[in-house]
Amino acid sequence: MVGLDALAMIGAFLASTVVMGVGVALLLRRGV
Amino acid sequence: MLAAVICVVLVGLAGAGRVHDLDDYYVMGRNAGTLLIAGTFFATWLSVVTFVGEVGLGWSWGLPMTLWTYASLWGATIFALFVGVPLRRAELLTAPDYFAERFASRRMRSLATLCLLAGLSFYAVGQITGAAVALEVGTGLPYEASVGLIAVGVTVYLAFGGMVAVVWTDLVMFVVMTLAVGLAVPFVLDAAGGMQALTEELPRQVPGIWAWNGPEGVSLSVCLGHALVWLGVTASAPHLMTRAYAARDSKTFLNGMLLGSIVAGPFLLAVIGMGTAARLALPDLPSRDLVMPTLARELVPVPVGCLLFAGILLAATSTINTQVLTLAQALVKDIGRDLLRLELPLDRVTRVTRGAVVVVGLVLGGLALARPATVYTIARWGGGVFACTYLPILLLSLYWRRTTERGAFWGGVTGLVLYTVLLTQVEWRLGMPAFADRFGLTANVWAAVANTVVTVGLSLAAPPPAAEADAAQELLARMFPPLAERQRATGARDYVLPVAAIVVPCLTLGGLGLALF
Repeated sequence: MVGLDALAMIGAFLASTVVMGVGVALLLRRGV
Repeated sequence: MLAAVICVVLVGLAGAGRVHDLDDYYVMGRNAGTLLIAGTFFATWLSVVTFVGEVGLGWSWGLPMTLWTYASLWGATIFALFVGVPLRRAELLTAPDYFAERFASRRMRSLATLCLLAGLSFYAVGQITGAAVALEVGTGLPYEASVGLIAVGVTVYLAFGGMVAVVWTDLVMFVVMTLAVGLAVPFVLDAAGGMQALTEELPRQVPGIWAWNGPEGVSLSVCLGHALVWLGVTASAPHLMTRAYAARDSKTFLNGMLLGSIVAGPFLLAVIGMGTAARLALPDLPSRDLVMPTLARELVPVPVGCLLFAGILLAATSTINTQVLTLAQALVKDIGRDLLRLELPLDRVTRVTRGAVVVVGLVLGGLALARPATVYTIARWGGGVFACTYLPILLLSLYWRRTTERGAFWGGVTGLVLYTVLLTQVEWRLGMPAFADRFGLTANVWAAVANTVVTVGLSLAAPPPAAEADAAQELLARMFPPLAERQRATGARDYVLPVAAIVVPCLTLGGLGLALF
């Protein structure tokens, strides 16, 4: 069966892209 | 496949018409827009290590464990936010230019150039070998002919078009590769027996393939080691650094990198998933490097298979072209003009670099004929060098004004020597998992830490000489202007890409999560 740890990995993968999007948005707001 | 190659060469030659001066040839006249930056970043980042290697890793490690390598996109983010943007503002031509200007130092240029030449050559030979093996298996073309095809193809348009050709051909490759993978995934899934077979049948045949640490149940430090290796490679590789130089401005560069990453995330997921799914249809293969070519030949219809082979070829050439150009630029500008002080007026540099491109292309092709060990291993040495030499010095010297030339130079030397010794004398003998288990982290992480410690220690020990401090001040003032002078988001339109960067992965991953559970 597919375990919860697979879900956790996919979640971490997702979190990293969210951090990236937020980071760029903040930087654009501040000025680059 | 041949059509795709011819198309790329034609686009490259068309780009040649736009090359008028040194800036055009080296950094595309610094006017690449968002889409071009996204394409060139994606195509350069997506090397054959990713395209062939990740499918193989997905096949042998399973999807969750292979996701650790996604840290390379984290590396790209770190690079874009903290290094790429200031580099763009500095208006430099090559990667060693930064180190030379920041420290007003010839020996820093020498060290940076040495790392670049050694690292990128190995990296590029790994790429050529990988692509040629894939072509050999897939099309029956002899290995030597495949190497020749790749080396000559890249060299021809590169010699004429320089960075303009690289950026435009990268865009074409970007489209072909995403199309190929998008079309292939449903067929591979079908050949594996659908989603249900993946969640029920596959774990019965290969226990642990859905575990976070793979079927072999490796330790956390091994997974972290893989993540850090990939992160370091992407955050510091000189051929990715020079992408920043070509952007129209810093905002364009940031948006381009973001767009490239938005596409790269789901793309990587599809590639890895394809490998994992192929495990059911192709359970017995002698080497994981063979998964991608075998899959393209046996699991998908012929036209899609051809597109995948074109993709493999393009994935390799899109990285090789940048690497060959970066190598040739370092040879001519950094070694010839700046270090040996040859009498080269700037307008002649372009012509000499074209010649150097041909030489570099042929030499690398010749080295690839020797057919070195597996793609992943050899490219990892080449990529790892930058993570333990360039990366710590780059970050320190940009954000800690006190960093001195003496510290950076000896830090870099420490990183380079320690990495090479640890990797070749210890890690390769033990194998990476055993090394990471025994010493906590991988060789290049330890070397990067040592580099940081030496750089900081020596920098604190003595302040920089006045001339060096002035040079640093002048360059850093250009790289970090007051906030009021920078570009900022002016309306909702400027936030479209950051929002998409969050929404797109949520949708694709959410879909995958739903399908799995």
